[in-house]
Amino acid sequence: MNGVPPNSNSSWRKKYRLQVQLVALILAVTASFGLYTAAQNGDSFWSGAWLATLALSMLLTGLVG
Amino acid sequence: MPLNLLTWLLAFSPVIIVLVLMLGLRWGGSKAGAIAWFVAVLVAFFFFGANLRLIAYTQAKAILLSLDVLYIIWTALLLYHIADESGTVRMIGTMLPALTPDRTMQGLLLGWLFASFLQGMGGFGVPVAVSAPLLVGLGFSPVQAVLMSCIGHGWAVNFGSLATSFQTLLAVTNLPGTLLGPPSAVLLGISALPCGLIVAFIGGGWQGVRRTFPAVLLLSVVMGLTQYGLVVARVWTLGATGAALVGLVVGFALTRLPAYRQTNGQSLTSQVDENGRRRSLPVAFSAYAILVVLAFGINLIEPLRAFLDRFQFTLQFPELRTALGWVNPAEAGRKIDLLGHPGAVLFYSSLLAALIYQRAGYFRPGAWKRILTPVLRGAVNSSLGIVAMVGMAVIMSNTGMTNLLAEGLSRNFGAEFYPLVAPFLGALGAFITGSNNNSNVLFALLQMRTAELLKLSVPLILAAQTAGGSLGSIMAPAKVIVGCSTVGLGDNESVVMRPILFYGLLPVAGVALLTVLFLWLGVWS
Repeated sequence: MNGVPPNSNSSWRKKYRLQVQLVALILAVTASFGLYTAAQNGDSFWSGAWLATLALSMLLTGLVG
Repeated sequence: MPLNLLTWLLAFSPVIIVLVLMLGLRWGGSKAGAIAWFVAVLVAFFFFGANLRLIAYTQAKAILLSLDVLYIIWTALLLYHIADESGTVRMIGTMLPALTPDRTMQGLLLGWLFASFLQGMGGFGVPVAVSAPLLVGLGFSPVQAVLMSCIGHGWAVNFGSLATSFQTLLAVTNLPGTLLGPPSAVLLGISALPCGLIVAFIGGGWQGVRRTFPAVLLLSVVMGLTQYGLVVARVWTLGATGAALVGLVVGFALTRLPAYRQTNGQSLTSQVDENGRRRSLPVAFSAYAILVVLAFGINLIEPLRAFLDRFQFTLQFPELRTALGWVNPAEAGRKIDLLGHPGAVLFYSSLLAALIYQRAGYFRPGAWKRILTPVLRGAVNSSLGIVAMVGMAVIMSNTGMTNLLAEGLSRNFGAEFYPLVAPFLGALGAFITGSNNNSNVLFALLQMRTAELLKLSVPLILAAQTAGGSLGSIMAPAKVIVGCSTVGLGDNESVVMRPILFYGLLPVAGVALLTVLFLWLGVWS
């Protein structure tokens, strides 16, 4: 130990980076097909929900990509 | 949407964001892509009349295009790490110096000829993904390796991948290949020379260029003429493959010349690994030999192709219209050949190579963990970058933003200057979308109509479009991400983006000058 407390934010990103990236990728692919299905059914609620999921995926990508 | 400076800048804003974040702030491709995706969605919603339905379908189109590329990235990384685990990469690193001690020639063999051959066979990022790590294994820096393998195959993209980009050009414009083939083959055949010279410069500096210039010139002439001959003979599907194959044969022959000859006396048929065990080169190279045989076999054996083509995945898209009247006609999305895709060919090659290496005892205990861990680490980050970038590009295309960009560029240049702009427009389309094919989809009709309005040679302007797209695709962030992910630069693509824009634009400028020259001479008028 060098006595310097690690930056919890950056250590969190380093430790779980691959897992978060995997989640972001799975969310992006799933949300894209979800968007297609919702659009085919003309379902605005699910279109909005899947778009929010995709936005979350992009947010995670922006954070840990 | 009316064309003015404000609307043009709005349409350009997602690309500006990518450029600023990657080139200015040195962000990675996935982070920059994610931010640019948000910008593209917001601009599309608030300024270009997009609605939820359009964004939903557009994102589905984008994921199909992305999966088409990701299929190759994951399997190319798998093949590479299997070959690496078997010691093949290290063996190439010792074999090539044995073939020729000249480092620039080594770089040319792998970064120019081998990468061009791989583009002919597979394309879609395979040349960079395969040859960049091999160049690193030879001792080139990761940045040099990505630059050399990207620039080296730029001339081969249009007639590579069984000429899919050229076929798209023919389909979009409804013009015959006999009309568009010759000017495209000439522009790209001549471009092989600057591509080779730039690879020589990156690999060996001015000294390397001076030493290898005769070889580069001879190889360029041989490959350019071979490609032209194949295109004129209407076999443009094998234009780049045949040219690069002849180039490889001549390249290996050139290493026998006194100037580049083997001097260190190492055996070329077997090598000794770090544990003192003798390894057979034919067995070690089996991964790449299998790749070549399978790629040729699947593409050229018609009954096999027809059988594999049965297993396809695609989605149907209805007509999409923005509130401002931009219409995307109903269409089928990108067809993904589940079993005949270049990614599938890479996967079969990986499995067969792994079987051979396992039987030959080239895998040590724990090999699969050492293979799969870097595949996962390298592929996930690149995949996120590609999903975001392609999403941004398709949103721009389907909301009329890309068209507005192109209109702004073309309207501001008259008949005198448009020939200089045409290849750069093709390059811009490929830079944004990551593909020569998509650039042709976006801009070919626009280029054709502009050429008609300005009374310029339509075949030559379209050839400039696809040549620019071919040479511009190697600068696309999506392709750079692929290369960086295979050489350990996964978070640091920006160090490659700056030099690749500089070097990559040189051959495009050459095509622009050639277009003006051919127009002046009245060729293909």
